Amino acid sequence: MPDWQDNSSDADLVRSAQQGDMRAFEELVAQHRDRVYARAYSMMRNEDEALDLSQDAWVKGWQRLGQFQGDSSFATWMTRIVINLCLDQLRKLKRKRADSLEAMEEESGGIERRLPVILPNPTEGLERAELRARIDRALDQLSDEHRTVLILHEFEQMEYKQIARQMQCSIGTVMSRLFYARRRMASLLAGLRREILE
Amino acid sequence: MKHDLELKLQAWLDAELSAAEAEQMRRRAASDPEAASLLAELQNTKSALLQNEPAVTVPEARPFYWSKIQRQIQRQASVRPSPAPPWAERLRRWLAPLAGAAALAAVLLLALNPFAPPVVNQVSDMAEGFQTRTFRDDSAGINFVVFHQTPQPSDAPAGAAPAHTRNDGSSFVIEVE
Repeated sequence: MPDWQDNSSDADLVRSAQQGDMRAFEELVAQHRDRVYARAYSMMRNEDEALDLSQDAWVKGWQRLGQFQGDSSFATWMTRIVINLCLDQLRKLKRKRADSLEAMEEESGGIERRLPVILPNPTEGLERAELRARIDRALDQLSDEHRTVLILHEFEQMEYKQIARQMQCSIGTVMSRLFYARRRMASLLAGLRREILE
Repeated sequence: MKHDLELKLQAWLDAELSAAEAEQMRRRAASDPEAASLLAELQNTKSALLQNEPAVTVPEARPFYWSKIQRQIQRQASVRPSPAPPWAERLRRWLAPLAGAAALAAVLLLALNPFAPPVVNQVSDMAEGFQTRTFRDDSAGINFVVFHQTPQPSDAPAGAAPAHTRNDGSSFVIEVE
């Protein structure tokens, strides 16, 4: 068995892991665990859930390694697996949640319809660390649907039709959710509060 | 502004429109200040998010994080085989359609083979007083009605117009075309 190093290539590690080499797979986990966990955390906004789902994703990754053809990078392939697990989990949570007035309003862009256009750019001149911290806080305040669509479009660079497939909804719904998610994000980044509008 | 137009402006920003529609939106943004300011806000948000995903790292040390994964893999390995190697996956992908084609060919061969013994299906078993079974040979278009003798044999069914009858002592067969 080779002694896998930090700088071993994904291709070598994947090939060995596909032959059943668990140590090669462990090295893959070590190299990409932050990315997979970060995606789970960005979607779930909860450390424990993100840990569980990211670890479940690695178990699934091991089971499906034979299907990995290298059409995308290994990290992208693993990220898709954890995204699917998170979407499943969010669907389960949504089924448990009552269809509150607030949830329905979020879906149809309730408050975002009344938001004034945010100009000038509220993020202009911000240090990168500050900007990231604000984005993180803003993501916390978005609904699951709005946060998910933003993550898939802006961070995962997915097209509308790919997002529609992942979220099991129409392209029109994706466009609408993305629009309201961006509008809400703009207002959150600008530090606007709901009270201003009322 | 109508919601449809808002969504189209956004789709233009995301390069999701055809060339003709994109040109339409470019003109709209150039001539409509409301559309232009909405577009600017959407653009600012998109740019802010691009390359600025909050950095998050696993809050557990490598051995702890890995140990749970390893335990789950080993637990599941006791009930299911380890991942199929890539050559096995490729073989399975090649063989799956071949197996389907072979099964179809076998069915066709059986259906078309003139030397094959006729396939008969039982289609009724409704007689009272004595045992009968009716079988149908679809390829020959014939029904076989088998009558089993009982201690008190019943009369033969009225109205039947047998083409052939056979009697082997314990049962007789009527063939109806």
